[in-house]
Amino acid sequence: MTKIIVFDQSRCTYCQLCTLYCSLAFNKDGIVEFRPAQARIQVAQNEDDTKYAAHVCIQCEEATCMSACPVEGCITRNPNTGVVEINEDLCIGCGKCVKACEYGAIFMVDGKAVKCEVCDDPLCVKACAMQALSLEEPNEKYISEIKKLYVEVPL
Amino acid sequence: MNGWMGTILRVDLSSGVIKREALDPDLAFNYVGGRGLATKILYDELDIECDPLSPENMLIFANGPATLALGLSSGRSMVVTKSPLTGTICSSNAGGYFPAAFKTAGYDLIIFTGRSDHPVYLHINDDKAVLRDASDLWGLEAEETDLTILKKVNPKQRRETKTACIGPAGENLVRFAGIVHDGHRLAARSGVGAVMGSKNLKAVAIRGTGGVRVANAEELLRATLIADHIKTTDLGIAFEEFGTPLFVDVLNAVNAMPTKNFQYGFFEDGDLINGAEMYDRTLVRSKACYGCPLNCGRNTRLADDAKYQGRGDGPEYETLYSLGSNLLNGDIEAVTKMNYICNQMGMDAIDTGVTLGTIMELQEIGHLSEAEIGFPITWGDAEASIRLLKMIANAEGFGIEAGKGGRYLAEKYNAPEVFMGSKGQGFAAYHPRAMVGQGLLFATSPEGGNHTTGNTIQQEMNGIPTPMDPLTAEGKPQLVIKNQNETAFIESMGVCIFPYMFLENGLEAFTELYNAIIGAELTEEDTFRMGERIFNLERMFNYRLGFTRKDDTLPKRLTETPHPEGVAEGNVVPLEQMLDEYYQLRGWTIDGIPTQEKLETLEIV
Repeated sequence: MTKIIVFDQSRCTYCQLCTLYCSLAFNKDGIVEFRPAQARIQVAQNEDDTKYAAHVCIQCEEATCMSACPVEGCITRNPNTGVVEINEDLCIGCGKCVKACEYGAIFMVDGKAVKCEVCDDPLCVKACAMQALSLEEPNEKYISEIKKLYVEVPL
Repeated sequence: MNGWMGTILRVDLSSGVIKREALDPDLAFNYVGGRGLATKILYDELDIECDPLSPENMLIFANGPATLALGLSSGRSMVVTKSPLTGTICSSNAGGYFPAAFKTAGYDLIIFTGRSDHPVYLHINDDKAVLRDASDLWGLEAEETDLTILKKVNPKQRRETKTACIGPAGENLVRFAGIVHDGHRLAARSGVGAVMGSKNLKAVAIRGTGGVRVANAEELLRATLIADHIKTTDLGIAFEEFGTPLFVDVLNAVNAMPTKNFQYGFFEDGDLINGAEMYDRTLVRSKACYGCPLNCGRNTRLADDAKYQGRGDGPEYETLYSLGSNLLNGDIEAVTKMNYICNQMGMDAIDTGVTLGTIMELQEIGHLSEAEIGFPITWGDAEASIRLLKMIANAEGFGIEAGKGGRYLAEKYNAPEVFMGSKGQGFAAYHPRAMVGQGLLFATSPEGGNHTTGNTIQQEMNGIPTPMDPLTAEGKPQLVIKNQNETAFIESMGVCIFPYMFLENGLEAFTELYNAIIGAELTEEDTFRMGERIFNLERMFNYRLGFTRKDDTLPKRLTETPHPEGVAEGNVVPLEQMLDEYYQLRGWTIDGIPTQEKLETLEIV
């Protein structure tokens, strides 16, 4: 099974430290900055503030982003890890994958689509003071529940 | 620049002109940011004698260099202005999610001057800033204002847009109106919301997509270890479970929980309004400000079958005192409801409670009649309290007078001694007769009875780093100076004072983190000196308005009337004795005026 970032919504406090620290991992051009807008994990709250959802790619087995992408070879699954990856050089920024992902786990950053491609030692997991995030192989129950949460508490 | 964004936005509400200006790096380095930097700008630019509610006053929204640049309780911004409640400089800070948007939009400060001729709100989308008509928002409560503004925003940008607004209390110039972040969390104190209201500025809505540069990200990751350390201490564990309401038990146990307008330091119904009671009856889940591992926020709801209904944030410990023990109100649902109303009306829950306490005592001693208020309001009467606090926020009937604050009422009704505050601002939740250092701190705070310009609870009550007798003057001037200087630095950084308070040497930890953010090699002595500079500048601001020792006062109740009970029985605050030593250690004259020599040492000109 593919290891993914697993989210325990009961422990989340909506602090968004995951977003803040994740953003550090995607700095470019020698710039070192906290930039939440470039993070690959974003947290949403529901209307009456009773539920929080850290939207992060669950590396779907049937990845709608892959089939929605009009560019051959841009979104592919890594055969070794099972992680769905976006080739930044090929991405044309059309946003079709963002729309296709019903779990709100693909984001447009500076004209390119980006998503969680599962770091080896993820900063989001390290940053979460509530241990609401972990890097593990999910079971089916988790996948069906988190899908429901992402639809119920959208970005 | 690392830490700072390098840009100041100036908004003149009279002319509608908006200008961008580069931040002066030397000024930023010397005055840090937030409270410090904004005070320096006011010190240099403000017509200091101005009426705080006139167009001449300046209202500064300020980030610190650490705001969002650090994963340790640094999602904070401040509002700095001349206070209509105290007539002094003031800095009111809050967390939530607004500061993160403010910072990532690319600004260190937003400086408002003048007054708009109609209600407006400032809408910022990264480098675009526009004043928009707010006629349809005027009169709305905080959450409704937030939601109404967000509905106008491009749906794709809605989640990232955050607001700071005033409620009816700010519009009606209630002297203790605050500014509400995200519809629920307040920069509550000193009447900053009334200044905003006087400018016809209903809200600031910001979306930012930029980043905050830092010098050494690897070094900053150590913040996660500090957070882990704090969260595994006894206090940290309790804090996570109960939030600030845990202090009800802590303070009540040592007779320092202000009760019945500070007549007592023990509330016998304390266990009906404490953290455990909230946990059982109102808590939905705990909630953190942006980028804070401590999650002390309380997301609460009153049950559908409860006497009162609603949902929102809190109450915090301060409110459990001000609207609870202070009024002999032991009904957690009533305190929670009153807190919601204060938040939605955009009104400081502390000064609201202090004002109600003043009114209840004035009525009890026969100085204020039922007829003047319109109804009886006796200790513990939640119904009458709710009725009155709505009248204050909406400026109706006696509420207009009450909205001028406790000191005004106590003087008007010939009993100035019943107002429990300093410099016109009501006290925070620590009874100085049972922790006299806190009394000195309140008396010398640049903005009166405030709990974020320093807080002695860790040392006086929890014995961290070393135990100290809370009842005597010994060592207190030193403790207070240390606290005031260090928190002036920490706050100006843009960091909440909680993690600093919880660490044995908070300044050391935050100096290291600060170095990693801005790329400097400052020592603790350096950052202590920066805090001292900021604190002295605030003192000078006030001195230019005539504030001296004669204003560093506490009510006679604290300095002359013996504490009635418990471990502090018989104690009073030896204020004058502490002040003599405090001024001497500060390098001020016996009248509490910074000497020329001190100002030169601190490079304040």
